[in-house]
Amino acid sequence: MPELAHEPEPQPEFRHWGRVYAAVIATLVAVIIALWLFSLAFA
Amino acid sequence: MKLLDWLVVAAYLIYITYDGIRLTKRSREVEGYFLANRALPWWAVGLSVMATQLSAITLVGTTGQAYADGMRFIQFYFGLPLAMVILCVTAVPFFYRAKVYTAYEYLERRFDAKTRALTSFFFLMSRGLSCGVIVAAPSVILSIVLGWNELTTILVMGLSTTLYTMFGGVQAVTWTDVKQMVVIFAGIGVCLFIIVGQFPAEVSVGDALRVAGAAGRLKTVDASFNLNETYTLWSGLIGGMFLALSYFGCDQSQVQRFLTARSVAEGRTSLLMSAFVKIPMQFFILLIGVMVFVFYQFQPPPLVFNQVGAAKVERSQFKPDFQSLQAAHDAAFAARRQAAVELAQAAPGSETAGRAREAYGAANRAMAETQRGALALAKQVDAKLPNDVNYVFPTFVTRHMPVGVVGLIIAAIFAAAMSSISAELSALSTATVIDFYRRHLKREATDAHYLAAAKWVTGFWGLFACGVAVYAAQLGSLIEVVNRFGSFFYGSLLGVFVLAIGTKRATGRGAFFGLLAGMASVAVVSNYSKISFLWYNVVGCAVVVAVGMLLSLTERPIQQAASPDLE
Repeated sequence: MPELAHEPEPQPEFRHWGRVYAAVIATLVAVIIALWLFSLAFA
Repeated sequence: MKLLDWLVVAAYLIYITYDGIRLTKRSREVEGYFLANRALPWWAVGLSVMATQLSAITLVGTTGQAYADGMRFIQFYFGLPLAMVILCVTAVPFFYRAKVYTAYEYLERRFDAKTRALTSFFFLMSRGLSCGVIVAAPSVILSIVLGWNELTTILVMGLSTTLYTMFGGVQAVTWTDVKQMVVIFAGIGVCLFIIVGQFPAEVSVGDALRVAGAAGRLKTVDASFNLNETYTLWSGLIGGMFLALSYFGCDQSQVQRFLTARSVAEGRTSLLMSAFVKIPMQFFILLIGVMVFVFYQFQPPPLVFNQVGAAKVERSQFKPDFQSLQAAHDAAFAARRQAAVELAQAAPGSETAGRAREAYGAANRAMAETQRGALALAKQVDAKLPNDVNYVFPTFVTRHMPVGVVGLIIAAIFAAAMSSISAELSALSTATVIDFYRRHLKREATDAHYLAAAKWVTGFWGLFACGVAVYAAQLGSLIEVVNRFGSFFYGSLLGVFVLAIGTKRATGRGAFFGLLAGMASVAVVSNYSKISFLWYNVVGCAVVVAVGMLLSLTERPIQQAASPDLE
């Protein structure tokens, strides 16, 4: 394995998990509403 | 099945076994064998999480369920994204930074050795038996579809999976899972495309959906709050969330998946990815079942899908009854087909559509009645016959799919079963070696010794699962016993982890006796109430936390030094 000329840059820690979680929950709500409308459309 | 189909299935089985075994060279130490040196990318871990959860029972059973009951089952997955968010905040960073091999190892650091041993022991019992069931359930169905005896199917599926898991460890499990998910996605996509192509020329996809809607197969959201109803919005969101928290956060077969990720961030991403993909994937699996239902509006369905069961009735004293039911079934089918064509061609909302809808509903009920009668006869002849809905999808595939595609879909069913079995074998081996062998039997040994032990233990669990599968295939009720035991255990185990991660005051004695109390409470609820099983996890978790905290308050708090260094 070739040696590295320098240590790799440490990856900056991702700090926006809160926004990701909010997006997951918003998507879930949108999916439930979409499925409900799908049921109504063909009921 | 034609020669090309057999070749596709054989190519899949040979390639996946070879591919798993060739990864042996990446597992030369215990950490590589059990945790892939914590170096796997998030997308591979995410696909492995999904592959582990998706068993052949899910693929075959849920399509059959959608055929018979519609798409309500999708609500079961609504709690999954919520659970994944909670796990990303709690379990993923806790377990990952604690550098544990098993979730139960963490409980010793937080509480004591007996709590770790008890939870790990229950996991081994529950998962060891359920692994046998995961082998047995598709084997019973595939053996009828493929014309093999059950033992052959069990051995082909169980031994090939054991072989590559035993040598390749978690590397083999994960990378074969990725390929197996590709086979499963391809199978689902091709299947859906071909079913729709087999509808009569005058029936469009929109028409098909209207017919399915008229038969009540497209109801996806039920907002009523009824604890006795299994699939509602609330049981899915709350009960499903607790079940997913227990399964993904406390079951070693899933915890081990995210422990193999490169970092906490990649572990989190893998779980969130699986949450995002799971609901659409399950939607399409259920839609296949609904489309098969629509297909059988225009083609006559068998009176009983399990042909072995039907043949047994034909040979019994019930043959005349069965034949008269068949005649009634054929007449009801002709009426239903006529009504379905009229419904598909009528303008939506028109008077003609209303009349066609009523005629369709009456014919559909008449058909359901004849099928119920035939199944009752089959049960009288052989009480151990599995649920007929499990045969809907395999029967449809082998009778109506083109050559080559049949092989692809049978390979996808094998892939779904093998991906779950391999992850469970790996988890069973990890818990046995780390929580018992290395902890209690041989504390000081070389890494090579533990690696060799891990491989032998994986082989043992593979044979154990095949042995259980042989008996489970003969005793239908055993499957139910195993599933019930699992449901007693899951919520209670979640309660122990809530005490461990969520409170500082809980003690080992509280967690230990809280777990026993939680399992006992679920046993009482399941035997003396009609509450749906999705709520068992909520009950078990709540009782463990309540009893555990009460007992903990009666003794001295644990010293801070006993807590793991997680920051």
